[in-house]
Amino acid sequence: MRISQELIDPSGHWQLHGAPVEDAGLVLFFGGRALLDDPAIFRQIRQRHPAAILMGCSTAGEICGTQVTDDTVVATAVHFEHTRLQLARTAVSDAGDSRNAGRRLAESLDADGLAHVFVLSDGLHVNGTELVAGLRAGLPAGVVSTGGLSADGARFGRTLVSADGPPTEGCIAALGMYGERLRVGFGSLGGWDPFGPERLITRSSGNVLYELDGESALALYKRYLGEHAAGLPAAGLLFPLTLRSAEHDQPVVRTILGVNETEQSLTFAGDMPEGAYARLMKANFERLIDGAIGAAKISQSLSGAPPQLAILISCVGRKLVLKQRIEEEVEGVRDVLGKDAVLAGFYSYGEISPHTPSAKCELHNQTMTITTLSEV
Amino acid sequence: MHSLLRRQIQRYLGDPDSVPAAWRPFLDAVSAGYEQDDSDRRLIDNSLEVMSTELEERNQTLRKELAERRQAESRIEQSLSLLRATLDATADGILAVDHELRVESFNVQLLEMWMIPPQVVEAQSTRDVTDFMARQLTTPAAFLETARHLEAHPDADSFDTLELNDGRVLECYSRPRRIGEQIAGRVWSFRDVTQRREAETRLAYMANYDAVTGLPNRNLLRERLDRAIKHEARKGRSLALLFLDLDNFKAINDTLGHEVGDRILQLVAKRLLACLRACDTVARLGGDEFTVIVEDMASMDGVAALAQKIIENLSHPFPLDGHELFCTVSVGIAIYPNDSDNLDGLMKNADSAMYRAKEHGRNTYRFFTEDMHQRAYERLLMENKLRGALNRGELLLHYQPQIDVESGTTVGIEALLRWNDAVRGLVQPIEFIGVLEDTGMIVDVGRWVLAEACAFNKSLQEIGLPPIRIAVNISPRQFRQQDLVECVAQTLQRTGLAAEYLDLEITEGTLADVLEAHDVLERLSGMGVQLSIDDFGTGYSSLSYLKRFPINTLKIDRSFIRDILTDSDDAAITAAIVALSRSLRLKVIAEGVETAAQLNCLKLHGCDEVQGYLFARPMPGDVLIDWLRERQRDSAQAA
Repeated sequence: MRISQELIDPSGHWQLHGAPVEDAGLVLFFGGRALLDDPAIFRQIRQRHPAAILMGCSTAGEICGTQVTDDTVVATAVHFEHTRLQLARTAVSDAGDSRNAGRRLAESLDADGLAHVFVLSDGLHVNGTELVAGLRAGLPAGVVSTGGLSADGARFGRTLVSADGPPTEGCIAALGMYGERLRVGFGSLGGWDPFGPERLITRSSGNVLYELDGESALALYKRYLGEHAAGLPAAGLLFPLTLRSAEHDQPVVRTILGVNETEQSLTFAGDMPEGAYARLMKANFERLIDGAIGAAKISQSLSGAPPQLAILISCVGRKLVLKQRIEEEVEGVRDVLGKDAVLAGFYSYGEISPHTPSAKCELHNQTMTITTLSEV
Repeated sequence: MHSLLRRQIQRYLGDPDSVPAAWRPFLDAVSAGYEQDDSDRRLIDNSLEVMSTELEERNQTLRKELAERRQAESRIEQSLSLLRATLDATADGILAVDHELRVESFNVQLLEMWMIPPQVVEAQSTRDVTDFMARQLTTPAAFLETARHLEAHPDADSFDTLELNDGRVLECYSRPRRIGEQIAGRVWSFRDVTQRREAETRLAYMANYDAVTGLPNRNLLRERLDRAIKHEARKGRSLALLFLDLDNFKAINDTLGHEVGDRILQLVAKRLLACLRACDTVARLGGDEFTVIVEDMASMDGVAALAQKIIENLSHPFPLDGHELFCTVSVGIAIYPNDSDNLDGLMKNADSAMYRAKEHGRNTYRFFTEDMHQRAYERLLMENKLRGALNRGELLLHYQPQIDVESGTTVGIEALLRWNDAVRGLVQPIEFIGVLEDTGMIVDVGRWVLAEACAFNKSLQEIGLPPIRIAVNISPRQFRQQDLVECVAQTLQRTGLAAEYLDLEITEGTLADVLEAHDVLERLSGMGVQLSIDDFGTGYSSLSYLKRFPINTLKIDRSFIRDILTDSDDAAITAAIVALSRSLRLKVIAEGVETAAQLNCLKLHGCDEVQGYLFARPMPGDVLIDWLRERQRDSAQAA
């Protein structure tokens, strides 16, 4: 496996990291929505890698090595020696179609020899929980999918996904990886601390939450945010919810995607079923960074070989909390994975991965999710 | 720039505004870091404050809920103790079981009422308990069936009355016990109603019976009278209602006191009952008024006789504390349906008849209608006279000859009963035969007639007259006597008259009960006695019996003979009877022949024998003997 990384800065200048890979089979590119909206960017990537599968999405921050940047594009070109790739895509116009979309994607990939699936999805028009459920139902047993939901900074406006074409809204791309010599590791950890009382979800619909313990959920959030309430919905990322229900093996974390003042509702990145118990969470710098390190360790222990490429998908919420210290979590990952591993990734509206190797794949929020790849 | 950073620059580096431009981005980043920390701290402070407020609120809520729960628990404890006390204080036996038929709760009364040993209920098996109960019942199967039904239908109610072998009566209620919509079990409750039952029975008795005499009261009388009227109406029969009022009871009551009055009433009741049949009802209406219902009334004079009997019975003195008290009665009689066809009308009319009896001097009876009263009175008078008539020798026989049409010779005589009343002289049978029949005296009289007639006929033979038949009428009541055949046989034997000279005349109506009549007629005929059908053509007759019965003669009723010359129907009927007799080989005799023209007509039709004024009226025995001798002489001369 040979890898090179290119960074396009906000003014459109290209910087190359590492020896250029001319014969890349895959280019993963993550960038600010404004740049990706510019058709010239995609054209330029295509010109540099005419034979590669181009797969990417808009973000809330790009990871290139241990550097975290905003409003840039990071393109990582990968040449696989022993791994075959197949890209599937589907369009989603309505969140209600999310589960079927997951199933469609899973079924359009060749099942034979499928080792792993990497997914990038629209971050605002897709119910991530349903998408993951559809993927899980459609994929052969034992095949895991990891990935994330695209983002639009802290704006929650439009999110874009590219599946070997110009990035568009409402798009989901799934990359099937085949080959016996491919080693895949994955791990996902949050590091948030739950606090305050557990609250019963008394009114909700899909991923829209209205009431906790019979009271307006939005009012509760505003009370906790105090002076930061004006910054909703992004400020909501400071207080994600942990969800305990019969549906999930382990508690899952849900992050806010939107606010509806008229309905007094909050929209989350995954299902908020009535009858489940929710608890507010808050950040602790050290614990967040420990979380990222933990995810890296799990991923490394799974891959069974020194990782050559690590795709880091971390939650926009973490970035809002850590601010200037955001790179500490990427550095923590680098310390675990070593200098040889190329780090690429982005800050997302949702992460897809099993919590632990034995657990089923789920949608997460507020986590650092790492997928490590290597060929042996 | 963050105020802290500005102060630090001021202190260590001099004027912050004159810091070199190259340092600017660095200082901005440091300033942002300071501000982030401040912001994060404020956020945490705020959230901690909010959280502690919230936790405090929840704490308050929990305290309140806890207090409420404690209150509720104490209320539950209170209501449980109230329930327990209520259960123990009630007189009912209570058994509560759960939906799996385990005994949940019971009270002391249950154990006492059913004499259940504690270990039976403590074993908690509902079936054991119900089985134990069932063994004490007069009908255990029914109770067990109910219990099993309720097991199968947990939502069903039941109410039963249980009779115990020891005579107690329990009411048993069983209702499902629910918690919300769910059936949680069942509660049985048993109430001892033995005393209530007895009181109800007493009350029912008091409602219908007079406390002093024990006779039915007005209430029950009305009920019985109503039923009797309907019954008699269906049967097409009559009934009599007698109203009795003691004539001088008020005086006894006023002078000797209520106690004596009550005892008199009891004695009156006793005497009244003694006068009546078991099927009759005597009731006390209150005061000194009594009422009698006579159902299936045989005859008017029967009722009059009963009234008379009552009056006579009560006219005897009542012995009381060494005194003899007299208490006569006035009786009013109303007849259904003649006087009224409804209960109230009948009561009213009997009452007014009773007042008329009082007006007629008390100690007497009165029918509601004067005409009826008169008739009944006369019949009763006649009955009384007739009772002694036989012994006094006032009854006697007259004889009317029967003539052979062809030869003109006397072939028989008919014995006819006459009553020679001391006051009225000779009374015609039509006036008194009915009374004899109604009273049953006809049986004795009939027996006497038979004996007298046979003896007379034998005496005719003994004085040398040619032997002839003697016809004797047998009344329906006489015919039904079990010993008729024996009686005839004995009479013939005693008088020595040969059977062939006895002719028994029987009306068509007598033969209505064909089977029984057939047997009697066969036996009489077997003896050689002649048998005639009297008044033939007047009754509703089935001609078939003519063939089946051993009959010798048909006697054409006098009503056909009377108009035989003027009424073509009568002539035709007579002709038909004669023709019928011919074909059945029966003899025909016509009675009431008064003219030669009638005789000629009958001769033309072929009638065998005749009887009537044309030849001779009925006459006493000695006159007949002379008449027969004269006829004998005449025929000898003619020969």
